Amino acid sequence: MSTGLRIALLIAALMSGLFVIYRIRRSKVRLQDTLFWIFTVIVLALLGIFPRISFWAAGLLGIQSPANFVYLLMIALLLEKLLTLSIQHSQMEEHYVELAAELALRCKDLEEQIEKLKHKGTDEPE
Amino acid sequence: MKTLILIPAYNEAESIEHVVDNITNNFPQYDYVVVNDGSSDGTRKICKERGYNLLDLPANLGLAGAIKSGMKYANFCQYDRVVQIDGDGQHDPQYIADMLEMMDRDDCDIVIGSRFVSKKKNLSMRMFGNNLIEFLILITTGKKITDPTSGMRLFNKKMIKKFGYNTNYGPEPDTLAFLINSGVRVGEVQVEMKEREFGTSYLSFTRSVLYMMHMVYGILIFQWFRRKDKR
Repeated sequence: MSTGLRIALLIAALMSGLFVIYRIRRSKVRLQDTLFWIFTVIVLALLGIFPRISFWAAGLLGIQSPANFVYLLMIALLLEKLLTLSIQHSQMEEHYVELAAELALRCKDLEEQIEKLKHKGTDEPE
Repeated sequence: MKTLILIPAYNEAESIEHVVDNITNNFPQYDYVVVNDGSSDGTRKICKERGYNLLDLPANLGLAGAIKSGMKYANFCQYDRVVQIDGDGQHDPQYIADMLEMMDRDDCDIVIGSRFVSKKKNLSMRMFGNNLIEFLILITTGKKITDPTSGMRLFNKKMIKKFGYNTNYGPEPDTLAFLINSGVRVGEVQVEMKEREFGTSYLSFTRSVLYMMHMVYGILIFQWFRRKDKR
């Protein structure tokens, strides 16, 4: 694994780490959504600091170059994120439909009650 | 000083009536609000029929969302204090007086109704989690919270605003640890809790594991990145 790649990994870890911490300090992100990024930052930093991990893992998986293991790992991490994002997205879509439907129902209920009250008002003098 | 009892309710149809009637009959000095967290059983219907003071969320937000809504309501109606109790009847409102007294006496911002101030914990999986969180809070804050997962908590005005309007203020132990480190005063009062009579606990096994993971991460790592506002 080249020194260049190691430096790139460390810079990537540092930049994303700082960005995540900045978002947390601004209260712009929820705890559960930072877990993945903190984990990723730690993994990238470890790979940058200890290249032996990549050599060992590449040997284990039968990959010729340890750099390729780093790419594989990143693809795996991205796929995992894509999967969870896609699930979250579909849940949000469902929530949105539910919210709109529930809101429409309640508005209708209120409108009917207002109508009833109006009629009551005009009926009473008789 | 106006005190509001905040009752988050998710599928508590069997017990909500008992809980609210107990408050209106025996503790009329407190106001209450039921936050129906998008229940799929008859919780909403029962509350409407019986004319309870109900904040009815149109979707299921989870406990944190229900508490946040309740805190916004409390702030909107200008309450000075909020007591959170569960909708399943395991918390007895008779202890609220003790909690209020402690808040006044010791100038606390949060008072927890704890099962273990003067009593020992029994050994079970649930208590293992409770002990682990207690230990994590102790090593990160230096303060011993004997029952960090207790769902019976009293908040003052400042906490109402924080919990109602800020991100990452879920009503969970990690928020507690962060707040203690920000200089917020937390006290504990001994209370008795009943076993839940109806319904099932929110925490299934996988949920418990996820919950513990969040708490460990939140207390050990996440809280140090957060910005503290001074007391």
